[in-house]
Amino acid sequence: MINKKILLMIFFVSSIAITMGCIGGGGDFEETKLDVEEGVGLIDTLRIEELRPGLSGYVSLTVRSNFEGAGSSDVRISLDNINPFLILECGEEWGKEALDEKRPENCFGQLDQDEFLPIRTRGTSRIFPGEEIEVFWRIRAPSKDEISDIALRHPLYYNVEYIYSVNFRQNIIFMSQEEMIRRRERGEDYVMTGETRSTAGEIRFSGATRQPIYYSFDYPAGGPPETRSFDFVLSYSVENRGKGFPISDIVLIMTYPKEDGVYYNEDILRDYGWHTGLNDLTCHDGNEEGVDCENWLKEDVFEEDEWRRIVAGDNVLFRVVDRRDFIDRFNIHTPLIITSDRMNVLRDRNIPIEIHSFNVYAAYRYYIEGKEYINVYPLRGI
Amino acid sequence: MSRTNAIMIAIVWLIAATAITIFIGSAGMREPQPLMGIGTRITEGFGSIMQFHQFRLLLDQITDPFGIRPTRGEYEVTPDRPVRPDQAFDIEIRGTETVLLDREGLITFVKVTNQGSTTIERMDVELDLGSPFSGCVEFSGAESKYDSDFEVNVYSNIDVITSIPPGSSKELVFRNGKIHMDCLLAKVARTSFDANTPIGGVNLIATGSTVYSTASRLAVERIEQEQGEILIRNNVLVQRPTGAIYRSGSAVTIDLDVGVQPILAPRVGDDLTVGLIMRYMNVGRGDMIGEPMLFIITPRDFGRCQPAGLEAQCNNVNIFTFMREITRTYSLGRNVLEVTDWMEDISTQKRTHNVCYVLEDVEEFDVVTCTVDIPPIRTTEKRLTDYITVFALYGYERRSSRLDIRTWCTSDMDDCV
Repeated sequence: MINKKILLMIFFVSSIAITMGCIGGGGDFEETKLDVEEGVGLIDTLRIEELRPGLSGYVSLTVRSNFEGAGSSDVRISLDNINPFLILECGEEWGKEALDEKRPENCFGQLDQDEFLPIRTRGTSRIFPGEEIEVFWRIRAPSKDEISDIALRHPLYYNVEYIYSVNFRQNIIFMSQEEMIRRRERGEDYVMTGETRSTAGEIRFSGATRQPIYYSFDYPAGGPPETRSFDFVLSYSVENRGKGFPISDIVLIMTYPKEDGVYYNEDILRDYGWHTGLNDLTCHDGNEEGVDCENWLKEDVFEEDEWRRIVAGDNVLFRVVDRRDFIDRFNIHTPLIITSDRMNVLRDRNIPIEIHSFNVYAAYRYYIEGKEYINVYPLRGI
Repeated sequence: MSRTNAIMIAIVWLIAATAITIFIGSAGMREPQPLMGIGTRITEGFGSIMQFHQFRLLLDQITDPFGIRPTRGEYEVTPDRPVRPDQAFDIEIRGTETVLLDREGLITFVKVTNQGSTTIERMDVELDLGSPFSGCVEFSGAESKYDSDFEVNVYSNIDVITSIPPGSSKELVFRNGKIHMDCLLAKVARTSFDANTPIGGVNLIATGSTVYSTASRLAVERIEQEQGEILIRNNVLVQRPTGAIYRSGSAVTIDLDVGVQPILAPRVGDDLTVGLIMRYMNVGRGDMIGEPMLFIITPRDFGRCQPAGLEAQCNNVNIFTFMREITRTYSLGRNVLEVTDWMEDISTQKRTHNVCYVLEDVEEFDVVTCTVDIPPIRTTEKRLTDYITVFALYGYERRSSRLDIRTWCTSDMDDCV
């Protein structure tokens, strides 16, 4: 009997211990995750809640490039609105007039680009997907006199700038009218939507093309075979769902499937805002106006291999959306044609359903701003 | 214990443990962040003050029918004392409540608590009877418990308390208090009192008066123009009126305003000329004595803030000489002297700020305006904040509650029948 009681006690205690271990501790160690709308996200800020006048402390920012994204380049992390605080670095105090001064030669920063940047900025040429970097500054609180002996609640801003790209891949389903009629008569489902896949990033695409796209073997009725090419339009909704906004122009790149016969109609391309090449296009890259778009994309946005892969072939379209025209959400349309040759193949082989994959890329420089308040309390008392 | 019972108990234990654990876990998740905690305290702290200000706002509307008035500010929030941000000091009275007329028998204690954030170097405390018997009491034994260099006892009903640090209290004792019957009779136009009948309406009131200092600080936040326009277009930025932060523990608040903020400022080009509106209000339970001395302190690159239509003296060392004289006259002590030194330091030696002394009297609720020139943001920073401070010296007096005195005469006295 005693043994049974002991066994029961052990069972109770172990049950509680297991339950506490599984549930109680979970909240404290939950990993910070980035949302799919974040290309680079701020996952932690070390806040100084309170400083006394004239004392110093550390502020830090931790950013991570989304594991499900493309990786980011030319990343800049800066403190802003620093006055009346001072940055303590390289053995000196950096006040509001000196924050832009170049870092002394013998004082290296934390990241690979720091030596070219003002003291309030940290920079790196690339953060790979899933990679995390933490930057920090030591700051000194203003003196009692500088805050007029009144408690100060100062918003210390930080901003993160980086170049990023998002890829949206969509399978578009094409269905012959004959197949649609057959399915309808048999009561089968004839409304189908192709699969989509998107990398993480702030600029989100969603397919707005109504699917399936129906084509007819007999269209246009009575015309010669060579005029049987079929014109469509693909629609996408583009939306900024990140926590900031693009500060460069947004370059959109559309790649068509490599299969023969699925192409774009060059005659109406310009009407839809697209270009077949980047030769005559200039961009604002977030720093300066009028840079060569192609150079910017090749050198700063995409990895060399990736760029080569994207622009391989002649089925690529480009479009530059001016950053000043950018609004939170807009639609883009791209002309699509199934050539007469392809239509003949479809008809001759009586192909009822076809699926083609289209890729849209958005390349941009993105800006996130945030702030944390630091309180400086004057000393009161005797 | 049967096996079934044991299993049942085990299941109940498991469910209870799970529930408790989930509760603990979720409670932990709900725990507010430290900064959120401060935010909550701000809301709670100022809720009561704002309720109090509702009345003031109505008064504003009467005194300022055109509605040109600066945005109301907030008291600073500090973890330290004082506990009452909107009062400079409190004064309490207690003591003997029974005394025969024309006999020395009153002993009265007056306690002064400094609720402000600066040391009160000197406070004059006066005891008197309330209306209509004012002037009918005399304390021959009024003496300060504190060593003092000040001249006291010009009238025996006045004594001085010196050096009361923020948050602390000091007490005075007034001894041998006598209420003069002939004075009381004269006040009520009678020739005699009834013997052994208490005289109604006799009460003692203590009045404390001092010179206090306060300051308000306004943050002037600029944002680089292009950045600001982008943020506004993206609905990230909304410009709002911004009020000043008052030093806590002052019965007088000074409101300052430069319009909506952040101010869109270019990187290059001319300064922006912005109007600064200010006015002060007495939100305490006492009365101001005269008008305050006002000093406007602006960052050097903002230019001098000259009150429009009023005379002001800026960046002249005479301001500080004058300030020191005032400091000595009113025995304001080290706190104000430190401020004087600071203002002289930043304006004449470090040359980081302009200090302007408003020469003319500015009455409560008067809206004073001046202009400041806000320069472009010349660094790569996208935001930049500077501060404008107004410092004030003001005389202030506050009365205690009444101490009812039970007093009468006896038939062996003259004029007592």
